[in-house]
Amino acid sequence: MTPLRPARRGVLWCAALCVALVATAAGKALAEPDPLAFLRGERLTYIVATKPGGGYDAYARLIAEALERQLPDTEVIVQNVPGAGHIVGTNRLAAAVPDGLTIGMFNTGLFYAQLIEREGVAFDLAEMGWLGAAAVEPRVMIAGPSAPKGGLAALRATERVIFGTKGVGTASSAEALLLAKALDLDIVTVPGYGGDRANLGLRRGELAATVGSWSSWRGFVEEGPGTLLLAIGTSASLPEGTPQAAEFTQDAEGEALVALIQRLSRLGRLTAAPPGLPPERLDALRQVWQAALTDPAFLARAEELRLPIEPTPGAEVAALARAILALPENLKSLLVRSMGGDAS
Amino acid sequence: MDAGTAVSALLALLSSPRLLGLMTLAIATGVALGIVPGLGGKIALSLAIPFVFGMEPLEGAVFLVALHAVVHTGGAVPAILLGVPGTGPNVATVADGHAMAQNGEAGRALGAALLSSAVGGLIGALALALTLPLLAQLSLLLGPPEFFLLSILGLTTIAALSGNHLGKGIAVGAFGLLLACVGHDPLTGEARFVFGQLWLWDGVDIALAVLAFYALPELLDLTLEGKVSRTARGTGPGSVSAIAEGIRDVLRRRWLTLRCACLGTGLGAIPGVGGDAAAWICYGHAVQSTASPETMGRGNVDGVIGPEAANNAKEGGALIPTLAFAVPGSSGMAILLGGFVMLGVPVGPQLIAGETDLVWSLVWVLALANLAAAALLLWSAPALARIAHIPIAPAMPFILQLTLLGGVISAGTFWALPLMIALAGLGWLLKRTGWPRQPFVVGLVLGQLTEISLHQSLLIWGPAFVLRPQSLVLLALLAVGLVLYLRVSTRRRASPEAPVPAVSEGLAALLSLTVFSVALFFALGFSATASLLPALVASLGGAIALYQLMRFLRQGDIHGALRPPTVTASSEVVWWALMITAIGAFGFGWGGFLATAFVLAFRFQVTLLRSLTLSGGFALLLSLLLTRAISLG
Repeated sequence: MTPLRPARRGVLWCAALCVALVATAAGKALAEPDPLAFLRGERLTYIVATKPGGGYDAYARLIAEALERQLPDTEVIVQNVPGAGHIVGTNRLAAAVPDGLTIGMFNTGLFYAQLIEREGVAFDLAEMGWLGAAAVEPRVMIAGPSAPKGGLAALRATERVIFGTKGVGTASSAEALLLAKALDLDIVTVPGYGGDRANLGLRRGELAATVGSWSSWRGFVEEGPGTLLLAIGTSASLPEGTPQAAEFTQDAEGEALVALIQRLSRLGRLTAAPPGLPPERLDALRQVWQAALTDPAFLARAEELRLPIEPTPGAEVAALARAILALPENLKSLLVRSMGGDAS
Repeated sequence: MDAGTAVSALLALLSSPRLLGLMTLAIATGVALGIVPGLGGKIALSLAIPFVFGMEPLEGAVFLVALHAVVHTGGAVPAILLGVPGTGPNVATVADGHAMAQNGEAGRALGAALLSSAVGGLIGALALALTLPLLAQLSLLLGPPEFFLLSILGLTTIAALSGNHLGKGIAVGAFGLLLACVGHDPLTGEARFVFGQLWLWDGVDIALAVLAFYALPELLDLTLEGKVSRTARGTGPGSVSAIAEGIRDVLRRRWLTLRCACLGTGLGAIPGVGGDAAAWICYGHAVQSTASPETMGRGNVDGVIGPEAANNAKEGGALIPTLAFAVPGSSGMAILLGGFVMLGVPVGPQLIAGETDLVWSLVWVLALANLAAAALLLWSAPALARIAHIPIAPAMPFILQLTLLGGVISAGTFWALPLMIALAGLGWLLKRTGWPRQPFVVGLVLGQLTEISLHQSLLIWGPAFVLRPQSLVLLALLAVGLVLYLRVSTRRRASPEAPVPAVSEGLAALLSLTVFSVALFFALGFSATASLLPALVASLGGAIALYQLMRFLRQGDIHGALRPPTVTASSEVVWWALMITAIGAFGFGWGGFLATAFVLAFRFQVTLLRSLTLSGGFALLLSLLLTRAISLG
């Protein structure tokens, strides 16, 4: 027998190494069951609590695509379950079998709905299996061209500052009223300025200011007519040096109100699984969700669609959610009042 | 925006096979969805949005705009031929268009509707192109006080739409206003008339209400009568000469066409007014300006031209604030805007300043789609016009399902079914007793705008809001309109005495009185602000219903009550009830399949195999639509 040539010996070594590696991997796989086995070959339903179209639907469909890339054996379908300001869809999600095959997206206004024990709420956000939040939505106070010049100080010195809001009982109106209380502003909220109607109202001059999310008011400020007075919460997209509402609060109550809104601002475009999901499945889903949201292909697509992404992991969202829901009673009754409910 | 960009956008559009293909597909789909009663523009968009996700922004935008632009062109076809509006804004066309078809002038009405639609669409596109540079100034002129006055102007058309039954018209309009109050009141946060039902929080969907109140009663009558209209006189129903006659009508009434197209564009551009209101306001204008007001509602071609020019023109108008400020001009535009967000199309000043070629592409798409849709339908009009003369009863189970599905999709819940049935029953009763039904939509569409803009104006300006210069101009217009209407209506008073009220009349009055009284009872439980509008309209409607009831008791044919309904009518209603119950119990898939097969086989004597195949295929299609596009709770 002729001795093996060095090159051939190398090949054999490699082959042996491969066999060994495969064997170890197989052994490992046998020893540790695949944490995503419950998803393989199954259909993952992603409930969106709005009608087709719009921001929430876009985020959900974008994330659904990214989840499918992470889970090649799983079909991810988006289901629109609209109604009652995200409550219907979230009720549906909360009532789904907690097997990890149903997840959903809804807005942070539901925290207010739960806090004031709004009729129709059949979920407990403290118990949800949080996968994470895809974006941060700092709230901003925007002044229009007709507002008194001189920033917040000028606004404070003015009586009956007209704020446009979506309507009594909505998060938009509640946040304007809570901020006015925290910052000692004398405001009148005028309903019926939902969506971008406030934009026109400010341009026409009938409204002096409004409160909303930075993502929806950024264009208005960058284009010229809007002045960014202050922000609640931070984001990479906010201009440097933007004053924070926390700097202007008058008392402890004001600080607590601002802290509430600030926590909510971290929870943009939430995704959750129903309560009661086994912890190992929740962990597995959290990891897949995190991987999907940091996937470069996903980030590139989000940039194309102009959907800002600043993810907060599930464990952190769960902690924030608990902190928000533990609102002291005095602030809760303030919230009830500002949402048009009975103050008793 | 220079002409160079405009031309290059057109060339880019025409030289891209992919864009042309998408546009063709969108036009065909839009026209088809318009023709099918029950599936209007909003539903078309809602169904299409999940499919366009992932397309290039330009491609997706072209598809959605072309799709939405032509739905009302298609919607005129069933409005005229069957008296069943294809979409909400086509309701205004029914009155005269369907009357023309019944007079044997289906072809003429179609020709007039299609050409005026095309002209309206072109004017809308032109307005969009011309105003884009000046938009910022234009749309900042009108604020809540003007919206309030415009909505009052819209509500006064109830008078014109009521014909000789002003009192009944106001009562029906009050019912529409009452229904507009359902849901969470933005002024107080109170839930009005929701009875603990989550799905009612967002209010009664307009598409659902129109389908239930207009389309279902028409469908029921179609089945009861077996077929629609018979040729009574005049030229052949679908002959080319009849269609040409309709085209000549539009040319003869070119100023009316142009005025309604401009009015429609303008109204479309006002956020919150929307297509339904634009069509009705233009119908009102046609009533004011026609040479023979006594024939309005009985087959006057002006009553077709006015609303049809308006409902296509308002698309261009509605796109103006949608594109310029990202403020949707109508509820359909709100969905379109949602679609744009999903496609990553920038809207608002960013779009106007930075993406001029995209804007021009959309202007061209709007113009081309309107022309293509009208041409397509004119070409097929002779064949379509024959629909009015063939028995369509066997198609009823399918149309019924589509109509119910349309309502359910619009409302987003199966709970829409009982509401639709209740509204359909009321609509049918009113139709049978000759109460005007049109004021209902006017009230429903304008209710919210009226209430919210009044409160906004009072909160911001106080009662002096009417003294703004823009408001004064509108007030003057309002006065002129009223004077014109009074002149027309005194001319019309010569019409014959009201007939002796029949028993169904008494029943309608009693039912209305009950509805208004119950509504008033609940309304008085709301806070002062929240109860103002509902309590006011419920009292008004109740008073009129009480008057009608007294009139019936004094002069009516009370003994008619003892006469049983005809056998055919009751058996037909049983078939309907069977289908609706099956769908309610087992859903559109299985329930629809079994019920349709049963009705086809036993009511229409279709062979069992064919019944099963037809209904099976249809059910499969519907369930595919439901599971892939929309989920219902």
